[in-house]
Amino acid sequence: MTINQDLLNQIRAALGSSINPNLTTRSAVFDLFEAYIFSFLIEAARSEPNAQIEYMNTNGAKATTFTFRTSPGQIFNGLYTHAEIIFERKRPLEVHVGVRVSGISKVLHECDVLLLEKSEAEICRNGNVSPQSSKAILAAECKYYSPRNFGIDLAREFLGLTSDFSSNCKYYFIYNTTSRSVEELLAHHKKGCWFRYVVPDHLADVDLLKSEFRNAIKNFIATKKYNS
Amino acid sequence: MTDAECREVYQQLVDMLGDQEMLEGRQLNWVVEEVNQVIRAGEIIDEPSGSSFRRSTREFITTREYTPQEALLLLIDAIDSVVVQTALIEREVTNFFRREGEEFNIPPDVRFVSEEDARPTVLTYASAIDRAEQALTLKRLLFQLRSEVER
Repeated sequence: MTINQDLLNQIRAALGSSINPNLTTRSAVFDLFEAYIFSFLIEAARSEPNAQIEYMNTNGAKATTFTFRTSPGQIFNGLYTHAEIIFERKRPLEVHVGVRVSGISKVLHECDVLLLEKSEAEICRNGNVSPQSSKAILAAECKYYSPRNFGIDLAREFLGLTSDFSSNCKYYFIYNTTSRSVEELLAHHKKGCWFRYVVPDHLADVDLLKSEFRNAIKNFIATKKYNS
Repeated sequence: MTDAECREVYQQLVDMLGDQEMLEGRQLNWVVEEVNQVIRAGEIIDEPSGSSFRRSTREFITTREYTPQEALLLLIDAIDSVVVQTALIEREVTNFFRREGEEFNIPPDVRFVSEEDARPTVLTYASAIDRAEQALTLKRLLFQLRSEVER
């Protein structure tokens, strides 16, 4: 036998001290991943000259903590943090984590990260209703899987969602690993945009997504219909 | 590493991920379940041209079982994803909000709260940097294990 038991013992020791006990469930890892993607969008906005950013609470007050949902909820519920982004002469925007959005069919969908017009978000908070996808600029489905070659169920779900989202909204499928079936399916249907290997160890892939977000922001700024 | 050795190492890693004592009362069995699902589904491959279909212009795909070596590599990769990469993401996220907190005068902790349960999960940069250091050690060890499997 050539099993290196010493190596396995070292792995055991390192494993225990590498894990945050609060991040041992699948849903907690998903939450962290969504916050990671949220930070990319804020960075993309900040890369534009004269961008103004504020962190706000659901109740309209300035945020005093960075608090995010653990599972998707309604934009008007709870006391959660979102970012408000203002570009010169453009309609103000908001970035949210984990909110439900109404599709073209009026069915509610969960958006892990959402960039939408502030006016729509205010209407929804005041009226206890969900934002419409036509008022969203960008939405992202963020998935974190442990193994590569994970199943295609979520890709099918993503394809279904893209067809129920307004063409005004750019829709992304962002995940941490790779899967041949998923990528073949998404590439074949040419719907939405997908980004794989979005983890710190794959800097080139992370940069691709960051660059895409910067482009989405630039397109928003250059689009006349969003002038204030 | 032989097939039998790969199976034994696989089982040892599975035991580690289910070790509540090591994980402060928690478990990572869901990682093993996700890997087992992938293993059960098999690897998708193109039908080799040397098969009975070689005269056909149609393209076929099929699945094949993962070998014990490949199954072990899937599990090692999964541990890297869920433990190492998660620790590095935690460091990046908490560092991002630490910087944002300084600029906006907001405490830098990142809190996750469900609508039903007000008890937050709180992430801090100070603990995240320690964990990320440990995770980089684990990453090196997993790389070494991967090399031994492939040898």
